Amino acid sequence: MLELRNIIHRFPESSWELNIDRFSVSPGEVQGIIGPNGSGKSTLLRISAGILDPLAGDVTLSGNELKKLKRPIIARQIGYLPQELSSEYDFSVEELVRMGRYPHTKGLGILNSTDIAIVQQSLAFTGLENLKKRRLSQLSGGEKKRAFLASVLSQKPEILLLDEPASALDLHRQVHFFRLLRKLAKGKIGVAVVTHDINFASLFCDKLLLLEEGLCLAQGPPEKVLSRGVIQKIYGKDVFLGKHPETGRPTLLPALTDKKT
Amino acid sequence: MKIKAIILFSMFFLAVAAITPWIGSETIRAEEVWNFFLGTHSPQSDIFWFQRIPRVLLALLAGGTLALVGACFQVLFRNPLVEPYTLGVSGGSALGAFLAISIPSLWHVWGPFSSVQLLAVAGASASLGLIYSLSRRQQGISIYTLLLAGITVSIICGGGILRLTYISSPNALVVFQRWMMGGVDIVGYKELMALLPLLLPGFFLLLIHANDLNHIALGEEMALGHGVPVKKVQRNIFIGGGLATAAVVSLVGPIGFIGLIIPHSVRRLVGFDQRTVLPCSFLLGGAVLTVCDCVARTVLAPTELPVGIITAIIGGPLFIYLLVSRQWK
Repeated sequence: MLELRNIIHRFPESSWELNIDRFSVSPGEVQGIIGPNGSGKSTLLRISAGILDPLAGDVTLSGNELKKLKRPIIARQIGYLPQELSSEYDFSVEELVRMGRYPHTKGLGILNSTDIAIVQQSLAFTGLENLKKRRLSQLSGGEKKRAFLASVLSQKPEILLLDEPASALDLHRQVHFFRLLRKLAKGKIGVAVVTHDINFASLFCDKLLLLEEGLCLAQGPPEKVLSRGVIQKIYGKDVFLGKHPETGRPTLLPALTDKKT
Repeated sequence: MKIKAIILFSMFFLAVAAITPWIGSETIRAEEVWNFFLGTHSPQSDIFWFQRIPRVLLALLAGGTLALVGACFQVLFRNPLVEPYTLGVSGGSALGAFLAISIPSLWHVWGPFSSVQLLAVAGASASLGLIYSLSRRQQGISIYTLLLAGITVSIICGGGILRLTYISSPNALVVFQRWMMGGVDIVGYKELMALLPLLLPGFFLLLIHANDLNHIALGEEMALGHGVPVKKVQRNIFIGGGLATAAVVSLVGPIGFIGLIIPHSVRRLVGFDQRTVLPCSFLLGGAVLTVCDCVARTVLAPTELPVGIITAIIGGPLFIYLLVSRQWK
């Protein structure tokens, strides 16, 4: 389990501060991190992945202090997919996915038969088997995201931290992507996903963490977090709070007039 | 990792190493070369064993080093235009070397090392360290700051060199001018051996991170996510690249284009896996500089051209071709 307690972080020459009392990611659950721009979602995820050291607070992974663990040890347990995905060189999909085995290999990173089988599994899981010989430059935005996700999955992590993984995808690709996350959670992987799309977060996540200006505004099941009062506080009277016809989970729609909330 | 490609490049490297010592203004017969081991010395055998072989070995090492460092730096900075000298290494190295050449009290020799070499190494390391600290950000390296810092340090070093030129003796100026033109003309093996204490640790630090560099090409955050100790890799590539470049530049001067062109050519031939690109860059860089030196000492024989002129004549048009064909990635 990944656990963060009493986290405080500030950037130099900025009055903005991230201040989170408690945040954890447990195996088998999908947790959505939502909030307006600049609320600290990505910063929280980077601290969780050990990419950024907080000014104060504790980050522990299975009871061990994260900053005392070596990077390959962290990478065997935490898979992190950053928001900006690019490659200086035009690797093939298979080459990229093979790179995910880095924390399990030594020296020149030569893969054994087990590693290769895991790479094939990751390709199959993300539906990239037929595209494995393609170069990254030959992929669509969605395919590229899936290729990077497959690379992270081949690390065989217990915790997956994803920063806006579905942001460039069209609607049906987003649905497929979030269904993939649910499948991963079924396989006992803990997922924390930063997303701007509150409806997807509400429908596909077990728990939500709502941030605003670096502070946790609400945390818990979607029904509790996306309450009328909280939504009104963040979005004013510009959105309509409804219920998903299949699941009854809260959904947001733009309001035609500013009377309905 | 493509073993076949490394073997093919090795064969080319060995072929160049085997053929070029026999080419030159003085014709050398195999019989004279072998008789050297039987104790029969001749002017031709001495030319072969004490001039051509050390020269070819130095060209192979120097060209290989420049191409290897260029390949590593281009990935580390995620910039295809970076070469060993872009980061002010040659400026710092030249200032250090010129300092030792122009101030007689600084001229010392410790075993195989001269103060020219040591100050060139110190100058190069200082430049790299300054540029690195200026461009370092919490999120990684700022490419714009890096390039600007590199240019600025080069200008500052240029100013220092001008100042030294103004106060130096004519003798020192001639030595420095010749050093700046670049050349691999050495006699004997002493200077060659003096390179190794700096080159070997440099090679080690660069080559152990071949696999890590593949991940760094995906961005610093992605590399960290894969488990790569990015800061350690950056530090080692900096130290290794700085040591190796400074060692080579201190002896052969600033020879251009090899560190820029060879890694691009290799990537076009073997792909992007740095575990293949790095050794192949070394092998091709060494072979190309050796061939260029062979041309430099034979094209106007018995007059010799500085090898830097040949690399510029070949490298310039090749660079333009690569630029126009837009095959950087």
